[in-house]
Amino acid sequence: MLRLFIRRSYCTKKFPEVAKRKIAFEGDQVLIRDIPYISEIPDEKLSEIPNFDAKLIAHLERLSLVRFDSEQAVANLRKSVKMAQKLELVDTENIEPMYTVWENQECPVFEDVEEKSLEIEEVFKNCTERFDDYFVTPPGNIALESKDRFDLNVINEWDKIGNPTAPQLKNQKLVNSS
Amino acid sequence: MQKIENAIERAIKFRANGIFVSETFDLARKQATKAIENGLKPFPIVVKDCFLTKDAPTTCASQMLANYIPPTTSTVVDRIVRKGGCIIGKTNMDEFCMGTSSQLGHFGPVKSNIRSEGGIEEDWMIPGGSSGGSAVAVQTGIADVALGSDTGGSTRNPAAFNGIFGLKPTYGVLSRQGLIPLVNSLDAPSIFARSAEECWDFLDKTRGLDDNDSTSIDLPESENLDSLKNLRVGVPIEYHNEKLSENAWKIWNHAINVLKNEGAEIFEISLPHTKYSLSCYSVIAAADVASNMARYDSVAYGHRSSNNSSTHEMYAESRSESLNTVVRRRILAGNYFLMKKYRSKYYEKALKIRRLINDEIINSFNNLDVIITPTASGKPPKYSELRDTLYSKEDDDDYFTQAANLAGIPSISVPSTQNENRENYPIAVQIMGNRLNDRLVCDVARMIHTKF
Repeated sequence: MLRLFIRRSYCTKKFPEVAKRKIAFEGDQVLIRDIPYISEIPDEKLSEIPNFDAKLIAHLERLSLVRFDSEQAVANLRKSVKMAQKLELVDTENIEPMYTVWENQECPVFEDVEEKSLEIEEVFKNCTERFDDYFVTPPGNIALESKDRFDLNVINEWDKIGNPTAPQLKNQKLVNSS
Repeated sequence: MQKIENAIERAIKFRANGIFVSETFDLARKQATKAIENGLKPFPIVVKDCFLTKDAPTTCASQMLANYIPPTTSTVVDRIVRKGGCIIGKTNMDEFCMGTSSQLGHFGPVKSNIRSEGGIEEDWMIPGGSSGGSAVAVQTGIADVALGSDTGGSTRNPAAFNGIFGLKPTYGVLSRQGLIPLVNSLDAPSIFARSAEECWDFLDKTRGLDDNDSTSIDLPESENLDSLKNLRVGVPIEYHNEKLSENAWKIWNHAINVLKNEGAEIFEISLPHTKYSLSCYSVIAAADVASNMARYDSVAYGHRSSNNSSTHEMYAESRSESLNTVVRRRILAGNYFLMKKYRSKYYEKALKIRRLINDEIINSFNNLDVIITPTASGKPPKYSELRDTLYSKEDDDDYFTQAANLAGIPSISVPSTQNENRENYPIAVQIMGNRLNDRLVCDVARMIHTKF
């Protein structure tokens, strides 16, 4: 029941009713177009996303060093890709990428002067495992294991057969009070 | 001093709203004493918990940094404290600034104080985000001014939802040193207040070059504007989209009426790439998130899992245990967009589209002084509404705000006073200006506020 409710309200969000004219406050002129501009880009205009497979999931987990926690998490990534696909519709021939706001600003560099570094105890005060003046890590050079654990069909057909749930709230707490 | 004690009293009174991650009352008292010694008037401030503070934990509302105490203080915080600012607390937010609701952080949701007559135990109004705690602190009168951050609307959105002012300055005018980075080329420390003058005053106290932020920039001095006559105002047609509510349109149209009556010239304009802006923003944001979040390896600091089978296993377990689902989703998406196979198709493509969006906005200022649009699609949603639509409304609201970040321009959200009589929910418009015209957008905000 809950599932039905969530999916239905999600759908109405996606396809708003036919636009009607907006009405100005009494005494105001209509100075802004009263019929909405269509900003939505229909999915049909976008190319198909290739289906996700176990190899891609494992690769992304290794690159990211975080795990997908459910089929929904992987399906959400597919949604993010779908969102990005809208960019294919824009012609960017001969356009240079824009990396930063102040492109012509000189980037100052530090003078080559030695700075006072942090005290050693200050450096270690936030670390969990310490041996003398070293940080400690477990054995290295072992690639992250990624076990096959998801139903790929559910992921790739999520819009039809998925069972979306909203993330849970945490309890309110204060980390510090003084 | 009494002002500081009053602020502390109010902070305690509104504890159920989840405004703070850390209360720093003793620190505020100490700062007040020092301010008085230095001949300054102490005043209460609150700081979003993504700004480093040497004397208090800095958590980004994440379990990852739940026990983290930084070795340094961010430039903006340092500057405001030197002017008499006393930090009442570090405010709650969306985890690592990712979100527009301030609901899903490790320390629980921020609950708005708007329309709270029926209680906020079961359901409540969303304060907006990601700087929700800072906004509610100003709305409830705990602080006169608050520090937030704005990467895609994270200050303007909660300002609109709480009926207060929110100023995102020109990129670089406030130093990013000590602001935990989300998207480096979009992040802007930002300001909440109950008036445009107070927003400007805070900016004036904290702005300017910083040796520790090579992207920081000086704001040239400019004249105070005291008339709206002949102000050239652009109204972009793309900002009346399908999602804009009846009332948000009415208020926006009313603001334009007020300006016209005051002698401003109104121009309908088109910014045709607006509909790609949110996709562009989301790809650029995810890519930077993937790289910025790579620093959290749980070795020198951060939540560490007990899984010690291998270094990579420990990294992945620590991060999966302590980062929420929104954060993990963006890290994974960013790494997808940055894969060799997809980098030019998505990431570089987005950067090119950013230039198109930037150019059409900046070029429009050849013939305009300001652009005025709604700040959000409508009134703040209730928590239950957001949950039942799986937080999709967050995207509807981001549509209106993130373009200003892509172009690096100043933008201020101005609450409508009319609306309180008409529907009793806060609704706002945003005033955007050309880069470095921060003073101008504050002045226009000040002048229209009393009349709209």
